[in-house]
Amino acid sequence: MAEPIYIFSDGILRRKENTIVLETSEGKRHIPVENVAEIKIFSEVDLNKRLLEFLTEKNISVHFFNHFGYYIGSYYPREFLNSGLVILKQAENYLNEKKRLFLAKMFVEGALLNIINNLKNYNENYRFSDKIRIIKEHVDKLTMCYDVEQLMALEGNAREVYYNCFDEIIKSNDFTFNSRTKRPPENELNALISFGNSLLYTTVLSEIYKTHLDPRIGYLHSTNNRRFTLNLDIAEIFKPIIVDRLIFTLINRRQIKTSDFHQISGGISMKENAKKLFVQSFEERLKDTIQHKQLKRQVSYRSLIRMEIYKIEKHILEDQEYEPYIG
Amino acid sequence: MITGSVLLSSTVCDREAWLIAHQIEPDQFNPFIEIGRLIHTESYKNNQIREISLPGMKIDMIYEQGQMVIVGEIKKSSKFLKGARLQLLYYLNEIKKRQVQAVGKILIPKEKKQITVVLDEQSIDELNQAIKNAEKIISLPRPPQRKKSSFCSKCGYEEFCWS
Ligand code: SF4
Repeated sequence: MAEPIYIFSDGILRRKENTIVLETSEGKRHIPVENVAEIKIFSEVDLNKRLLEFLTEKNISVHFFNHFGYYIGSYYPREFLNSGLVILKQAENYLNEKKRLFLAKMFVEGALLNIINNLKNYNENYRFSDKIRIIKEHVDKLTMCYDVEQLMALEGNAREVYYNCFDEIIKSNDFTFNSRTKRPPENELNALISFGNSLLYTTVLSEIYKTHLDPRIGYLHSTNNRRFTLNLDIAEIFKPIIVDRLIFTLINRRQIKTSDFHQISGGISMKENAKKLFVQSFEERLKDTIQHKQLKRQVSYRSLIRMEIYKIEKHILEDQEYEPYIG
Repeated sequence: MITGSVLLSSTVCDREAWLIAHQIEPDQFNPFIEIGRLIHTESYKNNQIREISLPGMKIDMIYEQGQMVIVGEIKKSSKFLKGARLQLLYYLNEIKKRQVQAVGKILIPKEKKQITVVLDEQSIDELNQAIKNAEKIISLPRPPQRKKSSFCSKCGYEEFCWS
């Protein structure tokens, strides 16, 4: 099975015959290309066109992150699956406002229902019952939204209610949430959320690459100023299930502590070891399996993400109406 | 567009035929597709036989035996003989349109079997009937409903259909 490759040390990445070689001050590491699903780079790496050509041939995408662990951009090779019909239908679902709103609503609904399930997991002594009720009310109001901006606003409000519960979910007093700050994250918890979300965005992007959908056409996140948006839409559904739960576990088990962060100019950043631990736990989480009702077998969270993309493909083909995954 | 693989799949599952015809290729990461690819590349590697691609056709091998041109189609097992036969008849007919008379052979390396397929009047009728049927399926505006069958678990569309 091909695996994602994470690179944390500075060096040169090049092609050597049928392998990718990473040269660092510590030496050379050969990576057979068959074992590579995607590459995520967190350090200073030099690479050349010959390597990009090789990666294109092997359908491998590369995602780049800066020193804070924020997503910078991706090398997304030429599509290898192409269906004119799918692209036409995908665009049609964007241009037709009613159709666009339907999908956008489903993404928000999926996100909020998964948020509610997270809160239910931590609802000892009914401490979150009120919050759960409020978020449910937001879900009910989704049907009344008549444009994407309203949906976004409603989601934002519900998310704030959710974030307010974080300080209680997290047992460690060292981590406090205050409010969500993104660029830059102003405290450790925000840095963790940003880092985890970036990992998820790129994972979803790599999965979209294996389908016929174009990641540039999203429905909730507008297509105007970003290159890839469909991955952001789909990630909404999985953020609570994958990223948030992972953060709660890592902090509550004291695997990540505030000493794993440091202030660098412009914001707070995770130290390299913490990034590595996070990435490893993130990948383990993607390999966790659940029993799939229709397929009647175990499937990993990573396949679940790909199947979510298939569900959208089926929706735009008017095959089956889309319903988000609720875990 | 009708192709050899659309005809082949139309004998198994209408939905599969529709998806293939609309360039919605199956899951490239499905292990069964991987196995199919291996059988293709490994089994006849040492013979000096060509694989050729023409519009709608990807012919596994074409070679001359005496005066005869043979079109060979490699299969994993004799499970889908009906479809394999149609696929070959389609190739033979397309080749005939290009003024070449050929005979077909279904090769099943794993079972050491060879089945000869000839394009005679009766099989031309059969082929035309199958093409008509496939055209009807693929002209549908949306994919035919999924139907659980024993094929699904080995089909490259399994995760697509049943997600
Ligand atoms: S999974 Fe089943 S329903 Fe879907 S295309 Fe394959 S055989 Fe047909």
